[in-house]
This record gives sequence, structure tokens and C-alpha cells, in this order.
Amino acid sequence: MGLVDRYLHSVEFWLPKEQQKDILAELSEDIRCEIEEKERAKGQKLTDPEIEALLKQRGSPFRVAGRYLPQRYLIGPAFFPLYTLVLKAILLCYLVPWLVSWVAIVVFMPSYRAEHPGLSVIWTLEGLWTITLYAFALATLVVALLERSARGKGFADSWERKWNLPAPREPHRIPRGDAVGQFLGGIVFALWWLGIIHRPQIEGLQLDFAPAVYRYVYWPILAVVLASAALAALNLLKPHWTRGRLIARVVIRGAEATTSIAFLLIATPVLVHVSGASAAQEATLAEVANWIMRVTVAAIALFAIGDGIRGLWLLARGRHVTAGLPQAAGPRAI
Amino acid sequence: MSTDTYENLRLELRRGCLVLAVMAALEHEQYGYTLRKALAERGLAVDEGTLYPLLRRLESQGLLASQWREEDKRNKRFYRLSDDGKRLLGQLLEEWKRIGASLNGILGGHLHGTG
Repeated sequence: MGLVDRYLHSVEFWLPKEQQKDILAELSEDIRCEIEEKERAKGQKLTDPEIEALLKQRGSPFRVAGRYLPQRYLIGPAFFPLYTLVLKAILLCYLVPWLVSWVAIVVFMPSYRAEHPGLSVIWTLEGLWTITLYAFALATLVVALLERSARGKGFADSWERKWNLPAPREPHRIPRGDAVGQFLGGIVFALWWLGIIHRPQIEGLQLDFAPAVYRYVYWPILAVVLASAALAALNLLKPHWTRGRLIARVVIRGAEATTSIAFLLIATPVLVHVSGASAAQEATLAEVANWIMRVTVAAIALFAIGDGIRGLWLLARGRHVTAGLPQAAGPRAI
Repeated sequence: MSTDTYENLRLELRRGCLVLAVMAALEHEQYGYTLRKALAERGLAVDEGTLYPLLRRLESQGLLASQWREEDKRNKRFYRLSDDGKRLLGQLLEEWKRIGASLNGILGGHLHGTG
């Protein structure tokens, strides 16, 4: 087999099956035409090194074949901003807080360093890396599937329409982003709360809620979060506030505020245990963990109160559609 | 500015022009190699890795028609502009003239070295 045939054979390997024969015939013809022309100019046959140089100039078989293939991508430009947003959220809300906690433990607790001498301390992060990797892989898979699904294409189109043709906002319409965010947030929180999504493990560090949390607020919090997710799901399907759903919104936000305040009334809701740490060190860590938890829960309570008041205001002003009646005329925003 | 940046912008600039040049050249039937030579002789050298995929794309869009035929005892694939391709070439040439006129106005100073 000559050099040209070997080259073509290598190109063939990378070509799509249905086009192999056609592309190779044309490529072969082009190469032989070029060789013949050079031979005519030279007045004698080309040597193998000369043919090799000519083929090298055309590029590697992989590169040559690649130019005949359609452009393919896992995540296209329409979904790439969403993809990077999800990755950043994982990074900022998950990886960074846990890394900061880990660095704090390593820096401020000599006993922890003594227990994991030298580079072995890195291996205490194994669980965190694994979960982060899974999270990134899952995000990639979900967005890639969204990209390919017909519904995904519809979403991308509607997203583009939104920016190309901004439409006046419909009265009483519930923003889709709010409903999606509340639904997904509620489901993820519920899965975490139930222990189905595990917290990342830092070796030697144990975090848990106090028994009082399980006794008084565990199930009420779960019920409120699920109710909020159910309302968000309904809002996604029927994206206009009705009187009934505004009442449900006020009741759920009231329950959220109540359970959050009940959580805040528990003296030490988060228990911390670090193997090898002194009681004083553990107490300091517990104080920090409880402070972070209290601030987070207080923020949730404030949001719930604010949103509940807004719901009451909308109810009082009659800012809702009447169930069963057609919507006011106007273009759909999305 | 890096050489890569220049090369990328140069290729981007050439890409649109190349489609027009190929379509215009194929008003008369040619096969790939002679088309490549014709373009190179007129100062628009294009490598085969760019030309053949472009010919396939234009053919799949119905702008070119191709036919395998024997010439000099070898099978060659001859391309020519289809009727749709001819119509589209006319429209593209009109657009080319408009762009050319606009660019001449915008780049006037730069082209004469006073920009």
C-alpha cells in the first residue's frame, strides 16, 4: 500500500460511514491531481519523501476528516450562559463554603493537623471532591439533555424571543423564573433535609442538628417547604395569581416565618463534633456554625414575612385574576 | 496583538468572500482541483480542507449540483451552480456591491493612508 493509500485509509477511519466512499474518492482525486502536476513540473516521478511532505502539508488525517464533519457541541450558545450560571452556583454555594471551613479547621486546629500529618490532610477532602465532581457532571448532563430535547429548543427560542421582542408585562402574571427557582429550591432543600442528598464529609468533622430541632421543627419545616414547592409547581403550570393561590401564598409564608422563628428560639440548633479537638475548640466552631445558621434562618424568616405582606397587599388590592375567566388581551411575555 | 488574533480575523474576513468567489467560479462547470487552481491563480488560494467541505455544504443547500464523470481515464466530480444558486448569487452580488460602497465610505481615509 502506497503512502497516499495509507493516508486515505487513515482519513477514512474518522469519516461518517455514509459519506466515506464519496469523500475519499474526491480527496484521492485531488491528491493525485496535485502529485501529477508536481511531477509534470519536475519532469519525473515524485519520491516518497516528496509525497510525504505534500501529505503533511494537507494536515493530519484526523484534522482533514474533521473538516467534513458537522460542527457538534455538547452545550450550545443558547444554553451556555445557563450552564455557567449553574456551575458558578455550585462553586459559590457548595464548594467554596466547604473549602473555607476545611481551611479554617486545618489552620486553627493543630490537633487536626497532628491527626493527618503532611499531605495526608488533602485526602480528608476526598468526599468533597467526589460530590463536587458528581454535581458538575450532573449539571453538564442535565443542560446537555435540555439542549437536545424539543422542549429545550422551545425554551431557547422563547428565551431569544424574550430579548428580541420585549413584550409588555401581563398583569398578575407570576414570573416563570420565580416559580422555577422556588420549586427547584424547595425540592433540593427537602431532599437535603430528608438526608437523601448527603452533606459532603470532611473527615473527623460531624455536624448535626440538636434533638430539639428534630422534636419541634423538623417535620413542620419539611411540610412548609413541600407546600411552597407545590404552590410553585402550580404557579408554573398556571402562571397568574388567583385569589385562592394568593391566600395559599400568605398562609405558607406565615407558616415559613413561624417555623423559622421557632428554629431561632432553640438555644443551640447545630451540634459540632471534631475528632481530636478540645472542648474549647469545639465550642468555638459550634458558635460559628450556629451563628451562620441563625443568620440564614433569620434571612429566610424576613423573606417569608416580606413575601407574605406583599401577598396580603395584592389580595387587598384585588391584584389577581378571577379563576375560570379568560385573561386580559395582550401578548405573552414568553 | 498576537499573530493568532490576526490570523483568526483574516480567516473570518475571507470566509464570506470565499463563498461568493466559489459560487461565481462555478457558473462554469469545474471539478475540485481545477476550481482550487483557478481561485489560487486569481489570488484567492484556498486549501482543500476548506474547499471540499464548503462545496458539500453548498450542494446540500441546493446551490450547487455535482456529477461524477470520467475525464482523462479518471473519475472526477464536476460541480456547477444550480438554478437556485444562480438566483442567490445575483442577490449576493447586489449585497456585495452595497457592502463595498459602504465600506469604501467608511474606510476611505484608512485606504488612502490618512486614517
